[in-house]
Amino acid sequence: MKLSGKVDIIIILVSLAAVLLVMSFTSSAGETAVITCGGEELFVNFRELTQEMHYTFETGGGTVVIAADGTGVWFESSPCSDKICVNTGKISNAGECAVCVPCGISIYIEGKKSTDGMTG
Amino acid sequence: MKDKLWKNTTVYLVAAALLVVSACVIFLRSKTNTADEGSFFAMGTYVFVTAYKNDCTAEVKSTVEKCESEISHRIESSYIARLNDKKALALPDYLSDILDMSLELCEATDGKYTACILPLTSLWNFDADKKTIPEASALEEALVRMDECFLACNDGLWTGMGIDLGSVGKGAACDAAAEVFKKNGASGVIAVGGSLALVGDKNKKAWTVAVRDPFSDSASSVFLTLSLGECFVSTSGSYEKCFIENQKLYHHILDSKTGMPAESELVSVTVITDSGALSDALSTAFFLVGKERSLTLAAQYGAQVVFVYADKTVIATEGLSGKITSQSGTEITYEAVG
Repeated sequence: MKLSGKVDIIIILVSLAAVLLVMSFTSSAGETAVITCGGEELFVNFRELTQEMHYTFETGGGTVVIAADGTGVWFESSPCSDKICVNTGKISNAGECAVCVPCGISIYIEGKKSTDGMTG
Repeated sequence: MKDKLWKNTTVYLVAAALLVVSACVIFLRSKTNTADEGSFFAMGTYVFVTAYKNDCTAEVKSTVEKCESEISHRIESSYIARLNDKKALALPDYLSDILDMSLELCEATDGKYTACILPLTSLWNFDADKKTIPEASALEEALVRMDECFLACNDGLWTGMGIDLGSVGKGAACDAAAEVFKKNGASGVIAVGGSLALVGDKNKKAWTVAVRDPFSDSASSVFLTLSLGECFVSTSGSYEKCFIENQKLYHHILDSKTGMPAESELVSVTVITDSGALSDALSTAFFLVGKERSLTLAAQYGAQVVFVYADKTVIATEGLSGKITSQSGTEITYEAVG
């Protein structure tokens, strides 16, 4: 019985080491969205949200509304003409961003990202 | 008994050592993988800076803003605006090099690519809130003005008319930003809109670059990923700065001969090379001249290229073999440059 208990402890320690190592080598979904507008930053821990939230920003280009829920963050509305920001849709992975250049506002998901930059 | 005790103790020590080693690996990885990130708006686009070893975002910002103030035709005091205003100027070396490169590329593309395109770009004005197809008479006038445009250098003084460096500006900003990184001993990625500078390496590993999906409305949708070392990357696409009228797409990559958006089966051209300004200019030039001519020019300029067609065919130069991963299951065909 005593021998079995010690073996259990060894197995637990080795398993814990293996799990920690694997976790350090794998990327994780983003946890925090950073909304930057006019040099000010708003941090939204969107994964903790239990209902949809809306954030309104008065920018040089007009009124922008950004929405967030437990699964991601997105531009809900913008006065810009091209709507590239709105068409980006919901973002949630670390390294993703959605930007409204005419209004000077961006959303960026912090965290360990799977790519280092995007072209195109 | 003693042997058993020794064996059990040894096993515990090994397991504990494994745990300590794992914790050290995780700690060290967290330290070496930590990047400083910053962003700002400049050159009519979003600039994102990821720096390892030294956070130089502030200096990158001032450098990019300085570059814009010197090369944007929209800024009255810029070198380009003053050239367009009939001034003869001695230019900073980097700008002379850019103009030399654009003249050479204009000749190499039989005039299809040109930096002297302001009469057309100002007529179409793809940055305007409301975009419309120019009237035929206005287009004719613009083409007449195109014939008057020129760029020349005599005895170290530049003169010109109708210069718009929109096809090269973001790449030029990447060059300037990369110099800031190198001066500060930093490695990382600077993204000026869709033009990227990849500086150094990521702890001896390659950088992973996403190529935007040209078939998606979402700017964050990924079509391909590229595994690259230190280099510069730019993409020109018909999905950027465009509008649809009467079910026809009008994009911003203009044919300098017809004054209209270039007719092409291509939707996206990505160029990888060792200069930001060159990668930016070549991505536009290659879109204009098509694949066959581009492959010859790619050999001359030492560039690697990815061509994406409207039917979702992807052709890449052989130098990218083993470096491209398709996110959509699209097969990639490789062709030699030259």
